[in-house]
Amino acid sequence: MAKSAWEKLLNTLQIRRDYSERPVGLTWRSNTYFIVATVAIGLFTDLFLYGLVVPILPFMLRERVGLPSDQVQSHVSGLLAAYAGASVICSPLAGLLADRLSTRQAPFLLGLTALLGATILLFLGESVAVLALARVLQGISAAFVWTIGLALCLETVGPENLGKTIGSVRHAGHLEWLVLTIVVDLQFHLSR
Amino acid sequence: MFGIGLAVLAIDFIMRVLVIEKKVARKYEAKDPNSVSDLDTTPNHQQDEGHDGEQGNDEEQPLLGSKEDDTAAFKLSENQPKIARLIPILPCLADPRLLTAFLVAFIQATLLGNFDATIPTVGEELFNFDSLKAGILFLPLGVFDFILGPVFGWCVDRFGPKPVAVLSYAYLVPILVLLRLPHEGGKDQMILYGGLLALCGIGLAGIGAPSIVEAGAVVQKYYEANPDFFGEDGPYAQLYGLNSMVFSAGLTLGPELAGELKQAIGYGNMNAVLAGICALTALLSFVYIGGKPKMLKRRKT
Repeated sequence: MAKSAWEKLLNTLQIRRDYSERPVGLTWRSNTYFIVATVAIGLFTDLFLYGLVVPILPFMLRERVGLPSDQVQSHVSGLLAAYAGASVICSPLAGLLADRLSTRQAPFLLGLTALLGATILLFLGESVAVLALARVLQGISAAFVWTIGLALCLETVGPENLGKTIGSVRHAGHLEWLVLTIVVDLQFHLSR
Repeated sequence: MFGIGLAVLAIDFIMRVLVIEKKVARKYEAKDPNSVSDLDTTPNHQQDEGHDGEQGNDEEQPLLGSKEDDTAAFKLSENQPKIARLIPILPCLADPRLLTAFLVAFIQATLLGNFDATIPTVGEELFNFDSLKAGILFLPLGVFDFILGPVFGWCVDRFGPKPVAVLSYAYLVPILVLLRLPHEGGKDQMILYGGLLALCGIGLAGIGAPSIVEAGAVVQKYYEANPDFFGEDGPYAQLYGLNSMVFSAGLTLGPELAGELKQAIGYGNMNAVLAGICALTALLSFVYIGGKPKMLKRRKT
């Protein structure tokens, strides 16, 4: 059976599944450690971009949006709340959606798309409305990655090993703090 | 800055595209009878365990009774309202074990949010720390959480979520009360405050895993008792969605609560209130997490 390269690519990337042919690297791509590492990286990205943005919010509001200083604090609080609020509302929705779909991968990728949009908006946005939208998208992404990431972990390692997996995955999240310190330090030295 | 953010996103994206779930991989393996891998053996292995479990159940899990009783306890009635069919996790929420697991996560997030909000201001008030120096105060808190998180996670797998949750919350009570000790001053007071925060970090490491594991275990019992109701994969994503919601709510409430309480009754008394909340959580964890303990059960029957 002759197959075009395009069809093979689709199967490899799991966009269209053809169960008669094994995609490239099936064994390692479905390896427990690889799946858990993917979830850990996902949580890391979420926390990293969160941590990257929060300290520079006041600066962005003052310099780029041009808010007067006495309005900055309340707008920072508002932008923080936008993230938390979006995350609170979207978490159960993400869970419901993920249980309806046959695969976790699609909503997991969807969450990342929201984060990409959020990051671009945050670094280009020049009004409070755009920044608020970016923070809402970031909250949606967080809801997806935490909800689906944990469900993926449970399905992969089984409930009897969930404790140490969660402990280790949260480990990766904390690593973000370390990397961020280095990045901010670097930024500080480079900008001088 | 923007470049680093995009680079992290790119790595994440590649991994999320490449990853193949176990259940999807199993479908490929099923089509290819020549390949024998751990994927094929996993379901059989689980079934074997199930059979063994029925025989050895009384020794292994004396608290839970026989498997038949267990299933009956988690059986949901046939005629669920329409909303429960749309959102199948809803009937499980009546279970006190699950509610306690959510409470444990909520209090954990509230404590985290509280530390985030108060450590910088306390550092400023007591030692005139600016925001960069205040960041150093988070170090003892984070380091112990970082090192001990996996250790306590292993403990949860080994000894169950109840002892870890109860001991961690009970341990936090005196530590939170002691946070009123540091005064304005020099190095000795900074070391005292940092040391107490490190002790808090140990407690925070312990309360991370029990909630998620316990919630997963409870819902698994409902799923096993009602396989038709929850569909093919079970309601796990809904469960962790709710867990994430509760956690975010705690992270939002924590700083608010801290700000209000600290202003109204002072930092020391605020921590005393938190210690009281932790004591209550420890008690509820003792009663409900992982099923009722033996002595309470006997008293009832």
